[in-house]
Amino acid sequence: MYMTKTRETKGSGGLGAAGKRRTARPGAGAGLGHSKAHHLAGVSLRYLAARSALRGHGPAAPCACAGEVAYRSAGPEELRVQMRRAYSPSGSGVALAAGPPALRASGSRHPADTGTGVFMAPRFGHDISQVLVSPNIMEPTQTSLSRRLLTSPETPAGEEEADQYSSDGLLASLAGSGTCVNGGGESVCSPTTGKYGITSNSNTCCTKECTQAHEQQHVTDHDGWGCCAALSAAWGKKGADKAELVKKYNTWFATANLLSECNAYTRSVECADALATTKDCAGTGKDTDCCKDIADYKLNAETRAKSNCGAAPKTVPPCPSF
Amino acid sequence: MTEKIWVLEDEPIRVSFNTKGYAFYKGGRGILGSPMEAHLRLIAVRGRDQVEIPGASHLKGRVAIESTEEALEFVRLFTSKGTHYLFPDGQYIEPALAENAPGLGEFTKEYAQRMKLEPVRSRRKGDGFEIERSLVDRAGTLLRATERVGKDGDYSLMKAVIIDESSPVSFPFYE
Repeated sequence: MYMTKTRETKGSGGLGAAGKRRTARPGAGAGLGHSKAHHLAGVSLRYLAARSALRGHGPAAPCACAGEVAYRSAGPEELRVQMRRAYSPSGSGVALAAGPPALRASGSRHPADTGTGVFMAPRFGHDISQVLVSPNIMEPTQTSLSRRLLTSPETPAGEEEADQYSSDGLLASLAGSGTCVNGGGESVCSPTTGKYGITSNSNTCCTKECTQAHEQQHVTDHDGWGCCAALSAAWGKKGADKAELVKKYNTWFATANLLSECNAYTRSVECADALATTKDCAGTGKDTDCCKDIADYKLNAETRAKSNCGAAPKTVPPCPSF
Repeated sequence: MTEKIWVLEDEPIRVSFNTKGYAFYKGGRGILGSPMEAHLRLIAVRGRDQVEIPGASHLKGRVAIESTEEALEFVRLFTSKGTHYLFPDGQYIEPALAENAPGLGEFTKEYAQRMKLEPVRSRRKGDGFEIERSLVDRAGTLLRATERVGKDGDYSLMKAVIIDESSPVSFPFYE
């Protein structure tokens, strides 16, 4: 039903592309703490493809992919496109991010091997057994790419991202792709304790502390406003209609949290500025990955601060009567 | 008990195409936390019937698309900066030309010229509509997509050609 054909890479570049660092973000809830496997799929498949390369699989086979994806015949310029599984609104699709230009393929394609498919399918949320990979995706010299990334002169000591290698010595993690993952943070009220708490910080970039500061602002705001505690008090009463309590709390939260997001994103911007100073992003740190992440982070936070502050009430609305 | 669907009744999502009696709202399940975008979903409400819509495919049969404009509005429901986060299945947003300095999901006029970005095209084709437009994924890859929208809301991404693997367009993220 969802026929997706990908055909060629026109080449990259263009304004802003050069030097722009791409902070990886989990898909389908990117930065939202959901479905990370979707976003990580690209890197994982790169590894899978490399694994398959060493195993010397057979000739190309048509891609079934639940009838959703078809690929053109493989060519060196097309591998990255082949590895890119486009949007499947059924939820069964995975977006396969492209690899670095050096990781181009030669040779024929074949489905991922059974063991790989079984291993990765639950991580992708999709049967990948028919996703085509190339047996020659990585040439021997290309396995050093991630090492080159690690030792890039633009990466100061101490900023390297942890790489993991398979037993074959191949890149096996997102980290080595030259990206980190800003999966954002999350915080929520616990109706059983009455405390608003941080439940996750999935930012592996150097802006992690800013995500923490952002979420901490939410904790300060919501605990200060007392509505989480009020919810908790009602929650514990015998015969409480919890669905109704949730509805009341959420309706209040949807408005009140705009003010908290205004505060939190403003804090994010402040944190990013402070971090940029610490990392000397205007000077010696200018072209480092961390400084590019900070710039990305700040742009997002500034935009979100502006929209939330513009929509937020001037004062926090009173807690609902539970 | 807490997993019952709730809706934010004062936050309707208005669309001009026929929704067969359903009204669209932001809503979800469980206690709303921060970022709200992680929790909010599109909920189609008709009377007591409340249906969570995690992706385009779930609207098939619940809408009637009758014009190219409505087809475009339909696909933008899933890919606009303002509503994309409601759909956990979604992977793309439609980037826009920045009026000033480019913000999230935006590109400059110079970039558009340099990359020869084509305008959005929407036309009738067969028993439905075909849309060609630019999309950007979470990694910043800019694509030229060809999508099909059936009159019953059946959606498919027919083709996606990579225009710029490392575009300057920033995909919004939330924390």
